[in-house]
Amino acid sequence: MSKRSSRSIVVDALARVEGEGGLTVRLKGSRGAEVTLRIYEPPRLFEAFLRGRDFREVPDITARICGICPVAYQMSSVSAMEAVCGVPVGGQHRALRRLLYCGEWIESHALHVYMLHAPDFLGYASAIDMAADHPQVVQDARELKKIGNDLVSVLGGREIHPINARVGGFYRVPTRRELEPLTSRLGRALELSLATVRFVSRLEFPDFEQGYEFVSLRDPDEYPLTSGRVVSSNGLDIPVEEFEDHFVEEHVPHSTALHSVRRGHGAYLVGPLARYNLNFDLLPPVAREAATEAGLEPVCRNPFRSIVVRAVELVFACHEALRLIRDYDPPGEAALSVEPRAGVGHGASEAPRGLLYHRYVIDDAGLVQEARIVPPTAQNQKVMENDLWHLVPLHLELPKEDLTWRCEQAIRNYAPCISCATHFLRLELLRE
Amino acid sequence: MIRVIGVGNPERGDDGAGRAVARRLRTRKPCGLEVRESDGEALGLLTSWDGVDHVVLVDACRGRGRPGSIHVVDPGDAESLATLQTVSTHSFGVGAAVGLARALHRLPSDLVIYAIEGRDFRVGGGLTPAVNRAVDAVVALLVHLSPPGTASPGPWQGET
Repeated sequence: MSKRSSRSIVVDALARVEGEGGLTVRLKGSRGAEVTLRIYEPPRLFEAFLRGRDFREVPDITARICGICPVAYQMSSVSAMEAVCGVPVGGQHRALRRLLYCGEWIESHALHVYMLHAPDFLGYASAIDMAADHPQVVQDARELKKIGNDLVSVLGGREIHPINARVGGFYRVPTRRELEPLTSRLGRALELSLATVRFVSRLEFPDFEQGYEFVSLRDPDEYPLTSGRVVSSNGLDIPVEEFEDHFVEEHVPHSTALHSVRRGHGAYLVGPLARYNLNFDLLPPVAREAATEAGLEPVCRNPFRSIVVRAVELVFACHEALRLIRDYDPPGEAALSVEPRAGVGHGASEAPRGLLYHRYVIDDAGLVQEARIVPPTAQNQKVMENDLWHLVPLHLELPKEDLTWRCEQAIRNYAPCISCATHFLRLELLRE
Repeated sequence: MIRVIGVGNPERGDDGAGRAVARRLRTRKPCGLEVRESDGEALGLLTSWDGVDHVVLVDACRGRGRPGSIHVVDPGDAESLATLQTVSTHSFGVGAAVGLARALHRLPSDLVIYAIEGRDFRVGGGLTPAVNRAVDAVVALLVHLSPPGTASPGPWQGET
């Protein structure tokens, strides 16, 4: 073990993450003295400028929070608005929302697994370096992502920041004929996803397991996407409306994103690992079998294996999209009529990176009085820092460059989307 | 056939220069040119020029000269590619697309990149006047690219 009195690892700008953040780890001897994931991307202020906007505008405004997961923001916000107005949306409207969400999962997971995370395991600084030696890997990523993009385009009107989802349903619903050409392509995507699971299962994973509290949505019958109760591996099981009774956000000086904790319990983990662990039984057999063949148990506590879990979720998303298209029966109306009603609405869905919670207060005229958005990366910040606390002392023998790489890889386990996470609690708090 | 791909984000001021070229070019219905737009995401760009031999890519750049100046960027010069503007922090940009395409042997046999120096990349702004003029100049240049020739930049280049 190192006898050096102090050692620092500083990464000013993390690569292969979405958004702008840095990392500082300071050690005294073999113990961590400081671990900070610094998120310095400027605040976005969405919650503030949503005030006064019509409740029907919110899905399109919040979609702009992220170019990778706009569907997630639309889905959580429409759920919240439909809850406050007392108009539950189910049936084929719900099925189409799940289908749209599958497209987003496919594009986001393909990008992260292949282009952002796989280079870590294969020893490349970037996907470009990796492409020279593993061209097929990048070709597969490109093909999978394109299929995801096209699915979002068909249902959402365009592949980035789709414009077709609305409170009550959609502006226009597709015909069966419009969806049918996607079937053969999604069949191909399913094949590629299964190959992805096999590919990532052969990577080498550090021996690192932690006793996380996993938090995700859970639906009675389906792997969670657009709805469900909030459950945790420590026994929490609450309706979405009680989210803020159990989870609180805290401001920390080194981050423009609020840190989340479960009240009285501390850090918790959202995202693919949590979804998988809490909903393994709801995966279709093809995804469960792929997971088992890849060596995954029904519960996985090694965050480095999240790349395998993401690949398993790719299998799920392709399979689910095929099922939804097969069973599609176009609804008579593109959307249900939703009239504003004063009150509070809560909505949550499973963004590719994890649980995304929204709460809105609207008045009788349907104008937003208050907005609250809790994105997955913000919720995972404490867990990311905790991982580094525990990971670094295990690898002190590594040269600094390798240890730095391992720390960055540990952050990329979470596919952090820093642009989504940045918040600004109150200006005066920062000044104190 | 030459495929023209305008790259950028029209909601980030001068970063929309490439997209503006594509949109104005489309209204001219130029013979022999096929016009596309792209947000610049690398994997998407790779797909957008798949199977095409002659490609002209138009993007905004920063740090190469006066705002509104037009440059021909050598796809083989990484330093030069790095000046192309990527305002999105979410994904890889044009430089990455070219690097990936080269590694995968999917670079068009004839790829020309025009870059327009921008001045203001703030959210919500339109094109600044000099960039607006440069967009018109690039459109005029591309309209006169004569099919079935190549997408070679020709003698016309330099500042507007």
